[in-house]
Amino acid sequence: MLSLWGGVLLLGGMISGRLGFGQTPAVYAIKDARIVTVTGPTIPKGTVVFRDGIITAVGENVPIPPDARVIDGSGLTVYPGLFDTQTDMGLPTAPPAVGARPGAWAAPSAPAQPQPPPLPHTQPEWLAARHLQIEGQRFENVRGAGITNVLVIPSRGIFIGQSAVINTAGDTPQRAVVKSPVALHIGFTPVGGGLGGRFPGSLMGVFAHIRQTLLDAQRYGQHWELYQRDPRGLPRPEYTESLEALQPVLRGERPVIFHVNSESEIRRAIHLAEEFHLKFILSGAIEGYKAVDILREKRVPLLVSVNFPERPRDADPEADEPLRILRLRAEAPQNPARLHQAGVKFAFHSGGLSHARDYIRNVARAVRAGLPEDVAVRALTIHAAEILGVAEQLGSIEVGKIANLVITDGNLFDERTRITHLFIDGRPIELRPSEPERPSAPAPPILVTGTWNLTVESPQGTVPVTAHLRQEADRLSGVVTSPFGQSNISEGSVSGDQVRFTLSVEIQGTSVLVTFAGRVEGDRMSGMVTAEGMGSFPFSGTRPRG
Amino acid sequence: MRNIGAFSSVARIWGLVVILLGSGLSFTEPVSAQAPQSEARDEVTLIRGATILTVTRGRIENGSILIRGGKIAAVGRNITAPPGAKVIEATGKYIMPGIIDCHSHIAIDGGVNEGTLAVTSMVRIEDVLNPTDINIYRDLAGGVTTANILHGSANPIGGLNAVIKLRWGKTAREMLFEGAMPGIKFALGENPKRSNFTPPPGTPRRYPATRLGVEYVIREAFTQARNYMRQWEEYERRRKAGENVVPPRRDLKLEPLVEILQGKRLVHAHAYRADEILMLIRLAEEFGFKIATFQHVLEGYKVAREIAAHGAGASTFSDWWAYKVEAYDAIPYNGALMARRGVIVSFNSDSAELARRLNLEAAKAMKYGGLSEDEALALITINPAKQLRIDHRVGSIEVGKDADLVIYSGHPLSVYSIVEKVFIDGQLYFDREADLARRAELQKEKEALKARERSDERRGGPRGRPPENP
Repeated sequence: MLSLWGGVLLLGGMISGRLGFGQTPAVYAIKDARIVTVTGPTIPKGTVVFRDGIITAVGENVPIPPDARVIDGSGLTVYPGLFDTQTDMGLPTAPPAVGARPGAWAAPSAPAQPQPPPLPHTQPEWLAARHLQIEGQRFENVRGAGITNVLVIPSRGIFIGQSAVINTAGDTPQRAVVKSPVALHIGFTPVGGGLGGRFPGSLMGVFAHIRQTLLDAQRYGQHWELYQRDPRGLPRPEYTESLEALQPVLRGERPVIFHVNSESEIRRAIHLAEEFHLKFILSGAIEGYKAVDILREKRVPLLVSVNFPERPRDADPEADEPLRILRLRAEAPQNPARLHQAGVKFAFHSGGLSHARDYIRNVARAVRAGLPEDVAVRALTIHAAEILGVAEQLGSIEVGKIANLVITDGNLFDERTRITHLFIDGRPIELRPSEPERPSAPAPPILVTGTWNLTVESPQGTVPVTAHLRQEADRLSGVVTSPFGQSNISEGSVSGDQVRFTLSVEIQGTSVLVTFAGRVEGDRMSGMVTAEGMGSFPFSGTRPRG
Repeated sequence: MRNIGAFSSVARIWGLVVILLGSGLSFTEPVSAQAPQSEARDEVTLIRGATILTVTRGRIENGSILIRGGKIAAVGRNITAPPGAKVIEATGKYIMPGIIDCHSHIAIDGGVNEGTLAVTSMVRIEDVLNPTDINIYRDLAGGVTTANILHGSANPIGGLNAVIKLRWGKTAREMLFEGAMPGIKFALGENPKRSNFTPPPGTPRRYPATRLGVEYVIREAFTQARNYMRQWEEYERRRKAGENVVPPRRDLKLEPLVEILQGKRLVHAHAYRADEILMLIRLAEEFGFKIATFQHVLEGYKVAREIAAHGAGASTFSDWWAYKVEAYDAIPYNGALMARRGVIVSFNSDSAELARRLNLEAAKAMKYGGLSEDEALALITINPAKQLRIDHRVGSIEVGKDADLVIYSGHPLSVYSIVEKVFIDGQLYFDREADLARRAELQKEKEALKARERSDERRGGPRGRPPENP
C-alpha cells in the first residue's frame, strides 16, 4: 500500500514537474517596465503578459488578466533572453567516442579493398541534444548572467557533430531543447599525429580529410539515388551513418558552422565551403575585422567570440612580444564594431570564457570600442536567433514567442546593473546572489604549484619531463619541458588531489596532444600520460623542495 | 628538408645559428602599409642608371628598365621616361632578376609534414599557407621573389606544393604564382625510412624502414594510380554506352599520382645518394613519367650524365655536407659539375634564414667549380624558373617578363652588397630605406601598447576577477 501511494505521489510529482507549474500561476504580467522588444520600438513604460510559457501581450496599454501574477516593473527593463551562440556546457567533458566511417587512406601495403579503419573525431551524426545534461554550477552561472539560450557543441574535433539550441533551464534535457540539429560543426584541429600515428596529424591533413569525407558523402548520396531510381544490376550501397548525416549539409539544407579565429582560418574556411557549395556560418572570428572584404562580399553570418586575447597571466614581463600580437590584443575588442561598420551580420558567443559574467562584460567592452548599444543587444538576441534559425520563437519580445526574458535594474552594459528576474519558458528562475556579493570563499590550498621532475615510462625507455606548474583555485597553468621541446599548458585543472593538464607537443614535425592525469601526495605525483594517437604510459615524479 | 628530427644535433646547431642570426635581425615589422594595394595595371615606372644583370642577355652598364602594368616593357641604355612615369634613380646600383628559391618551407601553418602515412599526396600546402609568416618578409628582404613551398621529407610520397610570389601583405590566394605548374614532394633515403629518428613512446615504427621499402611504397602507389585511372576510363566507357553504373570513389590520394602519369604534375624528389637517384629515374621511366627536380641531390655529381639524360633538374646546396650519413659524400663542386654535364642546376635554401642570402650561395659556385658570373646567377634565377616551368614569366630581365627585380647596393655576388629594393609585378614590396625609417615609429607603437596593457592590468581587467565556482 505504502509503495503504491509512494508511486502515485512520485507520478503526481512528475506530472506537475513536467507541466512545470504546480500551484504557481502559469500567467505573469510585468507592468510599468521599460521593454526592449528588439524587433519593435522600445516601450518606455509598458506591460508584458505571458501564459504557459508563451508571450501573449506586449504594449503600453495591455489589460492584465485576472489570473496573472503581477510583477511591478517600475524602474526595471525587460530584455529578451540573451544568447551565447557557442558553448560546450551540458555536454560530456570527454571527447565523443571514435566514430566509424570509411574514407581513410589505406596503407599502400593493404589489400585492394581494405576495411577502412575508423577515424577519430569524425562523427557528423553525433547529436549534442542526445548527450545533454542541464544541471550544475555552470548553468547557474550562465543564467545568473542573463543567458537563457545557448548553442551547445563540443569545441574540439574535425567533424565534431551537430549542435542544438537549448534553454538554459528545463525539467529535463529533452524539454530544454529548442532546436536540434541546428548545424554541423567542423573544426580544424589536427587530432592525430606522430609518424605512423593517426591521420591527420597536420593542418593540411585535416583539410584533406574534410575534403575526402565530403567527396565520399557526395558519392554515397549519388549511389543511393542511382540505386533507388533503378536497383537492377547495381551493387547496393552500404548504409553508413556518418555519410548519411552529411546529406542535408551537402544539399544546403543544414548549415555548417566552421570554428575559426584568425584571418587565414576565416579565408580558408570560406574557400572550402565554396568548393562544396555549403551553406555556412563562421564561429569565433576574433580576426574577422581583417577579413571584412570577403565576409561582406560573401554575406557570411558570424558567431563572434568575445573571449578577447589577453596577455598570458604568467607571461615573462621582459618578453619582447611581436607587435602583431600586441596589436591583436589591442584591436580585438574593436572587432564587433568594425564588423558592424562593414555591414557584416553577427551574433555573440563566449568563446570559452571561464567566467559567465565576463560574457556581457566583454560585450560591454566591444560597446565601449565603438559598437552601438542597440546592435550589441541585437547580436545577443535577435541576430543570434536568426542566424541559428529560431527567430520565430526566440530573440525578441513579441506575441507568440517563447517567454524567455531578462529583467534588469538598469542598462545591460552598465557594470552596476543587476538582474532582478529571469524567466525561461515563462517560468521564474531562482537567481543565486551574484558573484561579488558572495563572501569570498576561502582559497583552496595551493597543492600543485612548483617545479616537478617527472619521468614517463614508455616502451622505448624513460622520458624526462620538467613541469613548472602554477595552480590558481581549480585551474592549472604552466610550462612543460621535454626532449620534444617546451610547451605551454593549454588546459589544466585540479580537483582535490587529482591533477590534469594538457599540452601540445611537436613530435617529429607533427603536433600531438598530450594529457597528464594523476594524483598528488605531498611532493609526489603519479598517474598516466596519454599522447593522442599513440597510447598511454605511466608517469611519476617529485617536486624538489628548496 | 635536410633533417627533421627533434634530436639531430646538426638540426639543433643550425637551429641555434638561426636563432642567433634571427635575434640580431631587426626586420621587426613589414612595410606592408606602403606596399601598394592598388595595382594600377597601367602604372609606368622607369628604373635608370643601374648596372643590369639580365642573366640571359648579359650585362648592361648604365641601363634602364621600363615597367608597364607589372611587366618589363623595355630594357636598355637609352630609355626615356614616358610622361607620368615614376622614375627611380639607381645610378651605381645593380639590378638582377628576383631570386627564385626552389626549396622552401616558409609560410606553412600547422605542420610541414603529414607524417602519419607513407603516402600523403592528398594534402596540399595551398590549403595552409600563412601569408603573415614574417619569414616571407625576411626572405623578400633578401631578394627572393618566388618560392617553391614544399611539404617535408618524412614520406616517400609527400604533399602537393605551392609556388608563391612573396607578395607580402596580400592574402594566401593572392600570393599563389598564377598558372605555375602544380607539383608534389617525394623523398628518398634516411628521412622517409626514419633512420635518424627515435619514434615517440608507444608509436609503432612506420613503414617503410629501408631504402627498398621506400621504392616499394612508390611503386605500389603508382600501381594503384594506374588501376584507378583504368577504373575511371572503364566507368566513362560504360556510362557513355548508356549503362546504369555507379562512379568510382574519387580518391584524393591517387588523383595527383594520375596527374603525374599524365605529365601534368612536377615531381620534386628529395634525394641524396647516387644509387637512389638512379632507382627513382628507373622507376619513373618504367611508369612513363619524368622527375622534374631532384632536391638536395648531394651525390648528383656521380650520376650527372644520367640525371641529364632523364631530363631532370637538380636543386642542391652550395656547400652543405656531413649533417647525416647520406650527406657524407657531398662536395662543394657538385653544382658546377652537374651543370657542366648539362643538368639544369639551382641552389636552394631549404631554410627561411639561408633564403635571405642565396646570392652568396650562388657566388660560391664561382669559387668551387669556376662557373661564370652569369652561370652563378642562373643558379638562383633562370634555372629554378626552368625547373618550376615558370621561365616564360620570371628568372631573367627580358622584355615581356614579370617585373620581379632586386636592386642591390653593389654587385649581388659580393658579400658587401645589400638588397635595397625588391619589386614583384612592378610593385615595390621591400624598400630598405622605408623599413629603416619606420622602425622607430613601430618601436614607439609597441611600447605604447605594452604600457597600455600594463596600466589596464593594474586597474584590474576582466582577468583580475576571482575565479567563479571555486
